Amino acid sequence: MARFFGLVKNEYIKILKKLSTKILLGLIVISAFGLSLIALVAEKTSQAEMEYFSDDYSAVDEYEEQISWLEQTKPEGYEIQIKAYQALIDCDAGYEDWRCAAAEEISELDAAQASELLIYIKTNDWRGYCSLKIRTASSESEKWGYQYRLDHGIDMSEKFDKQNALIDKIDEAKMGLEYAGSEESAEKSAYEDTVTLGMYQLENEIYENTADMTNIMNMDLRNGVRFFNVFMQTPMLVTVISMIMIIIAGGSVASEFHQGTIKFLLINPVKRWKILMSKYFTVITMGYILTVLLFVLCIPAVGIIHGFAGINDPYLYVADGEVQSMNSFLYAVRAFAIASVETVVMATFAFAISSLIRSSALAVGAGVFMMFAGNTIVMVLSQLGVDWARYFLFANTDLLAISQGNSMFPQHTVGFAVAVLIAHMAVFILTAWDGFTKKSV
Amino acid sequence: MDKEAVLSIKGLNKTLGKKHILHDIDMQCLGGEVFGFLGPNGAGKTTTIKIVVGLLSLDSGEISVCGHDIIKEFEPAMANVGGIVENPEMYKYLTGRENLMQYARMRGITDEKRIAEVVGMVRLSNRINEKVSKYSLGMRQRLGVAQALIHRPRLLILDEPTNGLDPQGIKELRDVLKHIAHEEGVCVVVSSHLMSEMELMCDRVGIISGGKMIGTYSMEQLINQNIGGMAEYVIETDNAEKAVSLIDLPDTTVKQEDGNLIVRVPADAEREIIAAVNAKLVRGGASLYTVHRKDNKKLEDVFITLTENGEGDGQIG
Repeated sequence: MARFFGLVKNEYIKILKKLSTKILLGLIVISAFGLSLIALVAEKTSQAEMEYFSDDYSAVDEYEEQISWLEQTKPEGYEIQIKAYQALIDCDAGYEDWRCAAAEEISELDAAQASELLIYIKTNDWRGYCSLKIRTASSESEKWGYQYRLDHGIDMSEKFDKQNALIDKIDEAKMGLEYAGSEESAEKSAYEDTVTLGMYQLENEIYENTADMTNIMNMDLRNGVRFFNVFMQTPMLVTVISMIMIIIAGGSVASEFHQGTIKFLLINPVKRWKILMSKYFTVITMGYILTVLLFVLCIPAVGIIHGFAGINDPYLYVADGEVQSMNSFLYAVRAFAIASVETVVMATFAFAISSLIRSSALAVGAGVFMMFAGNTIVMVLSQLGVDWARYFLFANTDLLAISQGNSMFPQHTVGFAVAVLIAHMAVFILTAWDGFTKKSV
Repeated sequence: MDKEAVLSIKGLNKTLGKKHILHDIDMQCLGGEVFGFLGPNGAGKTTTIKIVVGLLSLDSGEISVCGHDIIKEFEPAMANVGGIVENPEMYKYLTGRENLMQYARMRGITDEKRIAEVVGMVRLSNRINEKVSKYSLGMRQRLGVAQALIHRPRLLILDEPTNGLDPQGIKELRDVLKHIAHEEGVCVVVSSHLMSEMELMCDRVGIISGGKMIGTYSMEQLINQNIGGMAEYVIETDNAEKAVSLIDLPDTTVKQEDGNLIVRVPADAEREIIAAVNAKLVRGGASLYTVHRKDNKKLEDVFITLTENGEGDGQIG
């Protein structure tokens, strides 16, 4: 066993002393900071867009335009609408103000309710508005949000922005539930979970859930970028590790042949399969070490550029009707671990080709091609309705999507995916084994 | 010094593709000797060596190193083998020492002293921490020898080790190899297609041609083995013409050259016959100045004759 670790140490030295490896490791640093910088550019661009809207085309302009349009067309009840807009102009209410939304609704109300609402707008009386909404609501779900605001004294002003956003979200889900009817469905349970989670957040005053931050497109820029808005994107960088490991695995056996050092390697009193396994062990462990390094590196890379605000935000999710709270870093670790499955599979593939064909260029080329084209091929096949494409390697590498039920194939389970992956890996390893131990040098 | 067989090859056959490369090779190499493995290019030297060190499989035959069969007991057998096959390829981006450490780890050697020792043995101590990419071919060759010696093998196999070395390098290598064979009792097997090198280095040679063993000879045997088993003597006398007529022995031919006599006698009884020749000259009244044995056949010629006579088809792959 000590001898085996000697072999592994040899492999590590050979890989790490190469100049190309050092460059590849530099790539990891660049990618970690690169992602963080790209997020910064995205943030600045959308902030600039928002400023453009508010500067050049203010809410007041919009209200004046509405008034002049109403004066020209004179629809039914236009006088009170004009008064409502005038009130908005007087108090300089922005788009985000509840009074702006309320003024839009005034045309839907009868005359008495409309004048009541106008008073609430003029006096900035959100409680009055809420009670009016409860009276005019057409469904239970619509009433709930306003009742909740009244009960808990949640002002509709910007001060309670986060609470209001949550209430709106729950409202929407409750409405969805009402329409969904009594039959059980995936959609319905998703709505139920949204309500459960939203209520939990309101009651526990947890307004930031990193589960909402996994998609960078959902970033709420008004509140500024939080740490996990960016950090939750970092698992995608594992692809960089996959590339690096394809290059290292592809050269692992082939470069020995290329350099002619294979003869020196094999005239030692070590059986060939042990040498091969030490190389494979090195490739896989190095893949994981680099993944851990990437993870650790991403923390300062994101923090330095975006700050550490919200680093303690939890990852909340609902399981069996109960809200579970998880450390967001733990969730990120899990995401990295799932993403690393692809690294292992691709590195094994490149390793097998390298051992069989003894050409680094071909092994690396085939590995990279598989990584980028494989998913596309499977996607095209799945859209053409070719169901047996589910047995392809690439239909099964994205365990995260499969576990969330987002697979391209129906009834695709994680167990099935893991079985397919293991079968492929076994074929790859046996190929490498055969290629390395049987052939003459 | 013990002289037991370290490497023993019996009835080795090898076919590569459709070509029958090796035919029933038999060879015994002993501890404490430098054994020259000699043959023209393509005779099957490298193939034989690759099989011995486990780089190629064999079709039939038995090979053992220190009594361990190289197939059934691969690891114990290879633990006694060190070698360089073809060129001394190293990891060029590593230093000489890092390269040696690679092999030391594979062979379970952790002793820094041993590494310093082999480095000293091949006279690389002052350059060992430089990258191999900066080494000359001769230095790489010596580093290869150090690598092959690091685990104190009983059998050291070097394939064409003098290739690309300058005369000084060849001499240094020769001294190193002789030292480890004669002083440390290692069996050193050196392959070459140049007889002139073997002459100075080897104690015994095995000659291979066309994939067949022609024979194994000690250096003395080889020197004596000229064409037709004849030895040549140069005799200086006062009157060569007269002397020619004095010599009339069976199986002996005499001719004149630069005023000297050139006498060819059968090698198996050369001493007796040359004594008789001398006696006849003296008795016949010729003044005998010197008699000396001519290194009549250069080993190179012997080698060429042997390999040509061997099969006549010394050209394989």
